[in-house]
Amino acid sequence: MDRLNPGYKFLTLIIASLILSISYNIRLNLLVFLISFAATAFTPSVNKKRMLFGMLPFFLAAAGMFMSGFLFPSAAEAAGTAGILGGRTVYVTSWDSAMKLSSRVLAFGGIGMLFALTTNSMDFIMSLMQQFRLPPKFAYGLLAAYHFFPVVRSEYGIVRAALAVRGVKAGPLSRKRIFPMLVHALERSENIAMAMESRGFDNDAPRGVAFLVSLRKVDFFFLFATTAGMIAGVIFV
Amino acid sequence: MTDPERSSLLSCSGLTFRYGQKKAPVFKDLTFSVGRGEAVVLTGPSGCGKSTLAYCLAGLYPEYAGVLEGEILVGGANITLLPPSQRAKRVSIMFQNPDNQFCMGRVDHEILFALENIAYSGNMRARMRELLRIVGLEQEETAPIHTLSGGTKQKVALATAMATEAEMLILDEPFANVDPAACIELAKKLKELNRAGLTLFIVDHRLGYWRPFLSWVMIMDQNGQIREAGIYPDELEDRKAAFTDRGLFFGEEWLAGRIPLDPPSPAETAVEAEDLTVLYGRKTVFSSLAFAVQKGAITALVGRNGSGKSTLLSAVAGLIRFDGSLRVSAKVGLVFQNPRYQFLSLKVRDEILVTLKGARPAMADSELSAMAEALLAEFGLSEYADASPYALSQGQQRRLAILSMLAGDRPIMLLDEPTYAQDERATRFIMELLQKQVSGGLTVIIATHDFALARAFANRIFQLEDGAISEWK
Repeated sequence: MDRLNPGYKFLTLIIASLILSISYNIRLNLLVFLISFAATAFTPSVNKKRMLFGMLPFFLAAAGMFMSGFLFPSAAEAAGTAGILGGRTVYVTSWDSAMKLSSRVLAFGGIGMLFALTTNSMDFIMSLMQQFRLPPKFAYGLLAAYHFFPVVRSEYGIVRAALAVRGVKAGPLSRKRIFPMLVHALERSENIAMAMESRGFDNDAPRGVAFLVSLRKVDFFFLFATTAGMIAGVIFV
Repeated sequence: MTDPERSSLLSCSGLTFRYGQKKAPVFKDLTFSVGRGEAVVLTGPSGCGKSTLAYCLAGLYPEYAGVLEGEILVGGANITLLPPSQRAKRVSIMFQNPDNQFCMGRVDHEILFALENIAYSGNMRARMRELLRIVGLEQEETAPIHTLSGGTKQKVALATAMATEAEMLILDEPFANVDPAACIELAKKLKELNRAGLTLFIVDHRLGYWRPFLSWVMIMDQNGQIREAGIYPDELEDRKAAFTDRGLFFGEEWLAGRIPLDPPSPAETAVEAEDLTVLYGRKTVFSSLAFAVQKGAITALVGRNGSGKSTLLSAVAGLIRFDGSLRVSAKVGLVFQNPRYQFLSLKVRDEILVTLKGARPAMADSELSAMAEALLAEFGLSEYADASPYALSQGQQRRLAILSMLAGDRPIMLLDEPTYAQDERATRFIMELLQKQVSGGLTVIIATHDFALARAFANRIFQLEDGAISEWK
């Protein structure tokens, strides 16, 4: 999974998601989730702890969807009273709609997780540039932005220190804090842009390729197999 | 001006630059040329426009700021008209600030990026390794850049600049934020490259590292005019006055005969530490430090880059967590190593007002403004009162950062490398001002690489090395 071409993998999973979205089938959703989970878990480079941690948000979302579908069905769906739960009437069909909603969250979450955890972000951006003709300006802009996240964290610390030594009180989201951070960020961006240009970066000139992301037959196989499998799933499951 | 036997590589005529159409020019009608294979040093007072000229020569201005008149030819081609991929093959630049010049996360990726940009036709990885070998960084091939020291980052920058195969390298105070050991190494590498044919145009306040191999020196005055040019190495001693009269460094003589002021007696302790330990992640920055800093005196903290000086100052300022005991008798102010991190507003005057307001919340605005103006005048920054702090030169920014902190009247003042990127006049001004304040009761701790400076001004010198502190006698 992690050796597939990231750009094509992305394309494949987007197509799969689009096909999946036209169906509203619990079994298919759960099947997609299980396959995504298995594919992610069996990829050797994936950190299992990170994976379980990453699953937490969409499990919570799925649980939330389940509850809202279960306890608050629309009038048209309510049929076949099953019992009372906490002062609310619960219907047989509610279970069905709750499962549909929550299994959908699991399915799409699973696909997202599969992509995110088995893909190296730099390879992905390089692949977009090499296979999908993304202009270098955007590709390297994305990359620079990606490297910016740890910078923002350290900037917060720097501004916190600057305020502390001047005896200025400011809340965590106050203008006095955010404003200098923004100014610093703008300055850093300009410096990086100047540095990139002075190293010859040119959006319009032909570039060499050092970080080659290869495209192999298996990538096309994955694309067709997954698409065909998903269509089959929608029709037959 | 240039050796008549060498052809000129860089030729400027009628250069005039302003930051805005209506603003006063930074420099006007500059005309000079640099021969192929020469190493020319441009020096001048802080804020005169040296860095601005460097950015123009590198082709970054007027693209990123300002309006340029005149012509800059490198190897016969007009630099401002070339696209970046062509320009980089003729001229590249090494910036002052080692941070904020890398767009990739790793050393090897950064060099490969430059090779990609010029569409290098050979084996890119082999060339990348060769460049790393030239600057002595073979061991750091896969290192993440943000973990490297300032000196190492500048070596990476040098390798990246060489990757583009530029004929001329412009250096904008490359040693301003680098410790002496790394400076010597870098200067040696640059000398070798120069001997091999790379033309260098160096902007710097100090000549020391360049004297062994510079071709000639150019002096810019406060108004951006080139007053002296073609000062050859053998003339330097005779032309000393040309430098010292303008407040520029010429060796260490300005420190001659200076001894620290007598500390007050009886001695009182302003800062006392026992068993002080600071960890950064799993790494120990320093452990079990014990020292005492006297009130009303100047204490210097010396040590090489990465020894933990800045961390120790942060601990004393109460900005980071530590183990052990640290007693501080009064409020502490801290001037950061990187002055830009200090700024909280968009106008120089407002920067001072931030501190004044924080220190004297009850005072009326009009009185505070008057105080601010007086302070600006004392520091020679009056004409920049309405300018953005980020538009000042690094030397001016450092003065502003120091001024902003001193305005707060905190009894204990910590300064991290206060003399980086300053000319002699400004350095002398800062140190003499600190001495004046110290006689009035201020306690000062300076972290510095400049041992000679420490000996001339500090009552006590502590050396931080390998996580331990010792007093230098």
